[in-house]
Amino acid sequence: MRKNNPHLFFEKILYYFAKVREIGVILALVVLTVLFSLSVTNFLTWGYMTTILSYATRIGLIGAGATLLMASREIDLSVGSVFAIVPVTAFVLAEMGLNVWLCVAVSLPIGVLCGILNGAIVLKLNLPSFIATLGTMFLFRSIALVLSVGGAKPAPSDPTYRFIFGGGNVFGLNTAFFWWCIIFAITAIVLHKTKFGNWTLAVGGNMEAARSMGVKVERVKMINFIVTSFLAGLCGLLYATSTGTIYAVYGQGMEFQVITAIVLGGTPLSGGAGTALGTVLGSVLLGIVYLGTVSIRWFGGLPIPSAYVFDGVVGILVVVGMFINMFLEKLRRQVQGC
Amino acid sequence: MLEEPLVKMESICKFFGPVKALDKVDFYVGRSEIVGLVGDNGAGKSTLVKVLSGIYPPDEGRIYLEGRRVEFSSPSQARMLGIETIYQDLALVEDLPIYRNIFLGKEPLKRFGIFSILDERKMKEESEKVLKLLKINIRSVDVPVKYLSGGQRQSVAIARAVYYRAKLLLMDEPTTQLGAAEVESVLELIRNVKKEGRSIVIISHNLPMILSVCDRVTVLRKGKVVGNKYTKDLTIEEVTDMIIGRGKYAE
Repeated sequence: MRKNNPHLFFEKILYYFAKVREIGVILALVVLTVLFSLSVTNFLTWGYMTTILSYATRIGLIGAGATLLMASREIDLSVGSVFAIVPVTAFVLAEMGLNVWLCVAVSLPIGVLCGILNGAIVLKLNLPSFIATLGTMFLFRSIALVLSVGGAKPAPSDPTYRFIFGGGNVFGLNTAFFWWCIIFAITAIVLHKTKFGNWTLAVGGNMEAARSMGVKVERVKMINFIVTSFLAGLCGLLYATSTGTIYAVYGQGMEFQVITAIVLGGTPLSGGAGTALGTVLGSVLLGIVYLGTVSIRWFGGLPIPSAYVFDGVVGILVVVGMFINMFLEKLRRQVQGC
Repeated sequence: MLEEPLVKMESICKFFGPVKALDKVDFYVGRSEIVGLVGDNGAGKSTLVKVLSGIYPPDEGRIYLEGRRVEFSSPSQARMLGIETIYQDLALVEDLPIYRNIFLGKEPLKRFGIFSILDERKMKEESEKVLKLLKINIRSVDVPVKYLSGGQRQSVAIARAVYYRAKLLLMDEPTTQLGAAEVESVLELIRNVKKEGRSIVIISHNLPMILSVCDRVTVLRKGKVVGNKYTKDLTIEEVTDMIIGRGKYAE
């Protein structure tokens, strides 16, 4: 029953190379870092790094939960709206004079509630999560707008609160980054080392098989919806606190950036597999592209807004990145067949 | 029959509306016995196996497991009693490695205070052990199932059932999608499973395969048992006659 046994030296190298699911995003990181450091002066400095990481934090924090969700073959388009609804609630309550910690205690569970609603629509009404969360994306955004009556709300001024929830800096790094580190570590362990992670992958890979082996399919998916939404809300709170203000329109379009970071990192859109580290790297990749495109003097300094270029580069990355991931999957199939 | 059979089904009837899919069927499987269940399309083979695997409750009749009367209304109840169905789609998760598939739903854990993580080492060692016991030749239990051939997948599914101490394995057309060499290795595996003291029921249209691997063949026609013979006394022609009701088996 053995064929294609990687005896040859070359095949062996390919084998180890292809086994790393994150190899595509690692290559992209190296190539783009080299390109940008050649074309932007001081690109490889700590100041630039911290900017990249704080951009990556925003995507990666939500991505940590969304990776689990996508591994279980569901998607959440409402994360950008939950990103707004939680800080809007917190800041509106704070403006009304509520204790800042109570504001946090009341607003973070709203993220959980949003997740429960998403999960309930998908699991009880049997709607595809793309449709269900498309609906709640509009619903949650609308609620955020109504709550803030369209205007900006300032973050609570309590210094301890500000420092902990993303307003502080340590070594030039936003404190939100440290939240991300902790949450990444937890989700990585959960996805790769626990029974729940194994069930998540099994549910995403073959739901009926998982069910027949006694896996509680609905419970797994529900928890992943809740975790994703909770982290989206937390991330919004950290970001709004770091900027000092919340507008109810914050986080629009964020869902697709999160999905982009996840799939570039090597987690397939179709579920069944996933890598927490890949999502971190995918988020950093987006951060690098963001800062790089902002910093380059495009077309000899013509007045073209860098955001226009950023979207274009991300678009190209998605297509090329997915093509490379597909190629790597073919390679894995060849060398791992036994 | 000298000893108590592992499973005995007595006058099982199953109706689908006005259609009598099974008509007072008696069927038994001995210990360490491989029984072939054959018959034309619509003869009731799959229905009989589905009754035995807990998918269809019988409308009439009794089932005995090791001499005790049993009743089950779901595959999971049948599985708890030691009757495992190897499905054609095999109930494996493509992206998960072999060892994670074998332990899916029954993962061994290592505890750290209130937290617990998967005991990867135990899962891998036990998986290697059961593959070795059944002489299944796969390079590594780390390989995701999607990189395995059809026969290898079949083997993993069988190994999983054996590991969980299934007493009786039900297999519906286990070799249809396999190449010739793979069929041989699956049949070898089935014989090894028998050596481990387990029993197997195989449904198939492939009569040469049935005659080569089974100890006994039970033939169904139009929901009734029309033959039950040891394979050493049988030829393909005689089985075919029983299946279609020809020659000395004509109605």
